[in-house]
Amino acid sequence: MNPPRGDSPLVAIRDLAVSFDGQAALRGVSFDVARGEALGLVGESGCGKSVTWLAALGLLPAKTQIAGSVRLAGEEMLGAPPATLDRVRGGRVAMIFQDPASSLNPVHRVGRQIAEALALHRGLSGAAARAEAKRLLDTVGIPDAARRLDAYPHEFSGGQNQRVMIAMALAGQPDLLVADEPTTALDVTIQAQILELLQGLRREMGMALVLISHDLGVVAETCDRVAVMYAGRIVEEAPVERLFDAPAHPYTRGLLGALPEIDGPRRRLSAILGGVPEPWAMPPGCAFAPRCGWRIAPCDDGTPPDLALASGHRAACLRAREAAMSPEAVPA
Amino acid sequence: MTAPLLAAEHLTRRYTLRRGVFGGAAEVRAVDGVSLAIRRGETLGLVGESGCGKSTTGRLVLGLERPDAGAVRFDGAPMPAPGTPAWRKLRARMQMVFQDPLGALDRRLAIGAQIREPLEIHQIDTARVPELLAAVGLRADQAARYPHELSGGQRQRAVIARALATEPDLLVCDEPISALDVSIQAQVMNLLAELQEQRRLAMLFISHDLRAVRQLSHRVAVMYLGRIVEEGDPDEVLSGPAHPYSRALVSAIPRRGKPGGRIVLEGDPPNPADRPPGCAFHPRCAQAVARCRADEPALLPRRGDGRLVACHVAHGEAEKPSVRAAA
Amino acid sequence: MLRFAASRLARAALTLAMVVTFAFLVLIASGDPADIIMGSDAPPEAVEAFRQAWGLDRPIWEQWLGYFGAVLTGDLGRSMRDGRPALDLVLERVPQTLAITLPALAIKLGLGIPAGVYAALHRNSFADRAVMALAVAGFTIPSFVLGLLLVLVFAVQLGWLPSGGDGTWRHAVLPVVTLGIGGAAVLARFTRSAMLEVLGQPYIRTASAKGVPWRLVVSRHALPNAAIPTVTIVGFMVGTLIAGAVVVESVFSWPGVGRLLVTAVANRDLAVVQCVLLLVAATMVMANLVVDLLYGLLDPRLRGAPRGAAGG
Repeated sequence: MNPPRGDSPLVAIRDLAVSFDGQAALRGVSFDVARGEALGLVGESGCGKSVTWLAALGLLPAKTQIAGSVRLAGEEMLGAPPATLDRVRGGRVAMIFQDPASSLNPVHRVGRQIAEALALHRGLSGAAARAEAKRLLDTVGIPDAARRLDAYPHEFSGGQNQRVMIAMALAGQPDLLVADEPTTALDVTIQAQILELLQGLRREMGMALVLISHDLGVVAETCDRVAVMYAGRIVEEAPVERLFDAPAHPYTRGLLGALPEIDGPRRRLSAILGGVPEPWAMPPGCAFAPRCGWRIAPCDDGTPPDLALASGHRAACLRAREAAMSPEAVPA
Repeated sequence: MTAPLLAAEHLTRRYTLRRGVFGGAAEVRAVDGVSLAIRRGETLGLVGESGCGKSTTGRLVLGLERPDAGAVRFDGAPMPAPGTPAWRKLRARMQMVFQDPLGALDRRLAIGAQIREPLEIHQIDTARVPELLAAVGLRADQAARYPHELSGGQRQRAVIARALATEPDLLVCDEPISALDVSIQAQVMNLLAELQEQRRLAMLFISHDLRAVRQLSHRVAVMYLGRIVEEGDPDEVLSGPAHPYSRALVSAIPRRGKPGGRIVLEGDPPNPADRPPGCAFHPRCAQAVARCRADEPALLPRRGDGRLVACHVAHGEAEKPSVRAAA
Repeated sequence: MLRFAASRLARAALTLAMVVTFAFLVLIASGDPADIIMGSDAPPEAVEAFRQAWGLDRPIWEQWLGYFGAVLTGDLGRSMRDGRPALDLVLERVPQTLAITLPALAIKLGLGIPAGVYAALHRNSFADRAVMALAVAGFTIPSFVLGLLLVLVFAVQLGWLPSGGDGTWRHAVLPVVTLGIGGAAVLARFTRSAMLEVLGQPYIRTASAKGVPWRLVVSRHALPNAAIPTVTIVGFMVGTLIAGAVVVESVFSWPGVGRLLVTAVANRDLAVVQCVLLLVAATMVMANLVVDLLYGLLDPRLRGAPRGAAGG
């Protein structure tokens, strides 16, 4: 269910570029997140999917070179004063991270950590804060919530820690939750629990969700739209069904071909040869060209522009239309 | 029917934990009565979540640890004790591939030297190094590289090359692809499949990733809290799991489309030191009956298709009312 | 908890026993007290009489046992020089030593920790590099060199402060500064590492992502975690409150426990040396005990077995 495109988006990112010490980690990323929608951000290591949001929220070191624009409901985030950023973080955009066990302060009780968010964004303190913290722990499915408020993070399991993180993220009643690989460090049955929880919360609260993951399956089942990233750029963006039915960019096709199936005939995986280029050794044109079975000479001339393929479906590839038609992962 | 290359019977490995300063000793049964057999040219996939004992099983199978009960037989002979000369000689015939390639390689040696090392130890012709590199898809010039100069996928290939150096008959792979990017995972999976076919390797493929296990295995065993709860053909187990835990595991795999009727297990995996009585899975099982709380089920062939499953309910015990309402 | 405390105390007692035995053996091996105290031109009968009076002619193990028995009853022996109880001699010097080591500790903590924290927060800036360079200088220069340098500049050249002895607060300034600088330097480097380690942890990023203002991230989230390893070093510094000033006291002729120890060793005044050593060991052991207990307070992970399930 795509929200109407006419509404102004909740988050609008335009030409976001990030460099560390002259090495480009993000090379011009543009996309929107609409209110209440679930967007998946998929890619392998070094593609910049986490950096995008760390930059948007101002969580990168001060010396990082950031360019472009990130607008939250019209308000520019890049270069905003610290007070504005502190208000937005947790209050309008909350972010949870990959390793729940080390993402919580080990010397503070869990109740205190949730109450901190409540105090910052909702002005709650004392008994009111404690009651609300308990309600949040109940919402995320922690049993015996009242007692667990006084427990320390090391007294919870990994899955429970992630639930606590989610509770803490919800404390500020954000419009958008950015979940950076939230289930990667967890067992698959626990992962299922957490994904169910996130979807349930989204439905109840009308919250938008950005799910960052390398796992196409996770993104496939949780998100409305997916953006695929490679070497610091978005190479394809589409509604989730369309991405899986008619992937256009050769990299997306390669990723899908590399995923072993759960059912259907077993086949040799179509592995993409080679590896992601290092930031200092970027190819002159399309970053994927050296590994691409569809490569032609113009691919090396410059970064391919976004080609609009269908409603809401774009791909940064000169041969996107052809590739979308072909059933083969690589041209014959 | 040829005899299996590796046969493990009723392996048990226990650890004793002391609970804090005052607590009594708690016994953790990391592996509890696991039996398995692998033939040449065959891959057995061992699947389970953290704490199920799959890694410990892998080490027991290789003889890196001595089981507290049970025995391992390799090629018909009992496994020698770790550290003995006979055991050391046997290393040439069985090798391990680990999860973290950077940790498995010595940071200070070039990979060529590390691949050559087993050849030197077992006195095999060291000129084979370039051939091994080629077999795993690395170039000969990469022999001079250090681990930190290679990518994750290349490192894992180096680890595999080193494992193959002595032409082992058995390869135990413990989460060999979990730390790699998706596209590299595919490369390594293809490589493992190829190598197995070419060299008739027997493989024990340990993973939490059911997709990968299905891709590479000829048989799959599902472990929960130290025991095998189901065993069978991967396609059959995945499409029709018999054990309630396997069902939850299969339905938990994230995939396209919003899955209706997904089985979401309640609670966390239990503490191995705090084992529930009877069937270890019963507190989280939607179909548990009274007997499940009392008797540990044995891994037996199911009536009908002979699927090996350790579950009272799967074997027909369902007359008494359930402990919990069905999901 | 009781068993924990009891085992720690037992270990402490064992440590003390070993320290005293070691000191005893070293002193016995290093020379005959009788010869040294009586002088090289004393008549042999006098020396022999001295020996007998002090029980130095008895077999070694008998002397050791005798000593241990005495310690357990609170009798720490008498100085061979003036016959006064060793314990009294030592205890009357303790306030003098504390008069310089306590202010020095204040400097170490008050200068070292803030400097380290500041350096960590402004990593790789000029200030960071300057602080670290000064710190290296501070702890590589041996204390007697530093002390003598300060005397040279402030006492001899500028004449602002006296060069030695005690009497007024002015006499204490140079010894305190000499002692404080080395410790502050060590603490600065250490605190910086501890802070950097903590600031790189994921939970700091979580706190920022929650909207906690940076100064609160530092004070509420980072510092309490950085305090845990820092407490070890501070504990060690507290442990050296009595013994840490030996060299400085000698350089500045400050009449504290350190100087007493040096003199007693030179004179092979066994009882006094052993008394000082016992006192130092006891202080160190106490400080360690307090640090161990503090750890439990500061780091909840150390307090008991975690109750959460493994994995998932």
